[in-house]
Amino acid sequence: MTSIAVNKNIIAIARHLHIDCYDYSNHKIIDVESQDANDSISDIVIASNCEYIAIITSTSKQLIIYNWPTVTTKRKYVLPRSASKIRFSPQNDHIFVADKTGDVLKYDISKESDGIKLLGHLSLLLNVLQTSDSKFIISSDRDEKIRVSCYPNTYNIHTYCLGHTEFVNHLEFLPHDNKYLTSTSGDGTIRCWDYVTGKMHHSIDTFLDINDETLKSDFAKVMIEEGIEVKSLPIVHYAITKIDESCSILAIAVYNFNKILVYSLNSDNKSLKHRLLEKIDVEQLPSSLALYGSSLFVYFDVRGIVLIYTIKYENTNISLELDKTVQMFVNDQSNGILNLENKHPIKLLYKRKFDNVQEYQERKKQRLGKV
Amino acid sequence: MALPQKKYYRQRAHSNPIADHCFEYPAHPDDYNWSTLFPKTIEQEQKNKQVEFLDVGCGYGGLLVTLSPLFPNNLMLGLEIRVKVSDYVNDRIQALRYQHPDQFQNIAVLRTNAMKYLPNFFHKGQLKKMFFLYPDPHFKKAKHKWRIINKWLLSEYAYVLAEEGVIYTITDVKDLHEWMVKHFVEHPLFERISDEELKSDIIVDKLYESTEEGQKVTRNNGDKYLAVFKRIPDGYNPN
Repeated sequence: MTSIAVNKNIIAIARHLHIDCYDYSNHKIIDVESQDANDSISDIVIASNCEYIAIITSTSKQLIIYNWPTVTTKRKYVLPRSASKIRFSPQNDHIFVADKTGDVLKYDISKESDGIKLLGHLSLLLNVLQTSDSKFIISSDRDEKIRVSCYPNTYNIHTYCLGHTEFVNHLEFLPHDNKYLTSTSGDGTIRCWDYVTGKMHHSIDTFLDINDETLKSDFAKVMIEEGIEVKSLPIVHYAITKIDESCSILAIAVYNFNKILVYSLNSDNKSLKHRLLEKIDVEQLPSSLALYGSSLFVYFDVRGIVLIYTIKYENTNISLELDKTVQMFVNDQSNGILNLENKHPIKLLYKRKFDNVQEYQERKKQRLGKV
Repeated sequence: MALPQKKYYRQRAHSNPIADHCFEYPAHPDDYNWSTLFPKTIEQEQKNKQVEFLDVGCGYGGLLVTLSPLFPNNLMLGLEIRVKVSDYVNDRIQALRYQHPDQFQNIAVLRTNAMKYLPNFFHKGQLKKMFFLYPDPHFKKAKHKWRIINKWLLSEYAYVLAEEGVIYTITDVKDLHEWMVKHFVEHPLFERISDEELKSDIIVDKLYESTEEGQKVTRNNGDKYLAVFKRIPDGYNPN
């Protein structure tokens, strides 16, 4: 679940059923209507041309597109099923919806008509993305898979990017070289792929930089009580931005780890190299992260604040400095008491262990023993 | 080593294909060690030999055993989701290999969910033939998504199947036959192979009687509906 979207001169934050759009001078609040008190906004995006803001809601399954900066409603659709992620097409004329039953739907925002199903996985979808040349659509799921489908002939699966060993929750192109796709996973790695061949070109294991066995084993203990076996601390939030023609910056939040990992990823003679730049201390796991231009945005739901860090780039030295703190939802009484974290438990992204083989094998052994 | 007795391996016909079972599968096809399933072929003969025939929902393995001597140079794998039934097929193959050294080295069985994990085991275009024999034991109108043949899964089968590769289907349920034909014919990556062309295919005859299910239908004097399809190149033209 993503609750922040950032573009040129806009920070948009979604909390519960409210959106605060801040243009660095004024806050514009949008209230989303819903019959259900437990409903909430589950994803928010801003079109790359800054003309639209789109959101989806969890239980009322609405997809709403607002015009920016007028904040009037452009379109309102009801999705057939609950969705996890929305994206604008590169031309900002369509929205792709990745839903929890495994379908990718396409909505033409110039029309009121229902979405068209483009493809289906037999697994909960977590992300979707279209290439800038519109030739492919890429989708990722709870079953460790990244699928690259041709577009618009989506019946033709071009390739899979396989290697993650847990759910794949974030997909982004490498901004300084968009022939590469980057992905993050519950396996704690960020991987970089040539999405045309499906080959992995680089991998960053965040645990090497967390290096805290106690944190990992504590998480494993909590999860095993739910019947889930985990081997890694999962990446929960991810953002990436371009610094120059050969370098991008990545920001990562890992479950239960109270630091934000900031890496640089460089193209160097046809290979990719990463470097840990900073571990930024935070009071708790942030609710969302975003990178835009040379700023890192870290949002905390409970207090409704956004910390804005500036990325300083001098010679080859990159550093981050806290620039300002913005209070969102200024008039909202729930600041400081709201806790939405438990509404989207991480355990839903894992497969429950269900062993029906071992018992059978033991009974078989007994049977054969008797003979 | 005796052949296994079926009475110890009986299991109801259906298994929920959507639920999380505990399956072992590789993250990537390159990670899988095929020499465990085909020890003689892969360890002693050809290291890079790959599975080319796939029987999806192979049941008690009748087709694999029938085809094994007819295609000695092709590796064939049966997939079966049910624990006891896949174990029966494995015990059967092990016993056959023991009783007939140098035979049945090209067939094996794997317990997995074909609707979810085919790309984990097989590369794009790796397979030459796929079989769906007497699929979907509980054919119901409401459960389209659970059917082994549907519009979206056909794209996954088209991915693992080589162009010119062939998919064989047979069923005793007329509605299911019509459903399968409709979806294959509508899918841009498949076309139906005519009855005329099938006359020269030695596999077709084996599809009627080689499996348990097929024999049961014969005993009950049921009808059998066959349909065979070819994987064709994508004709999509952006202009």
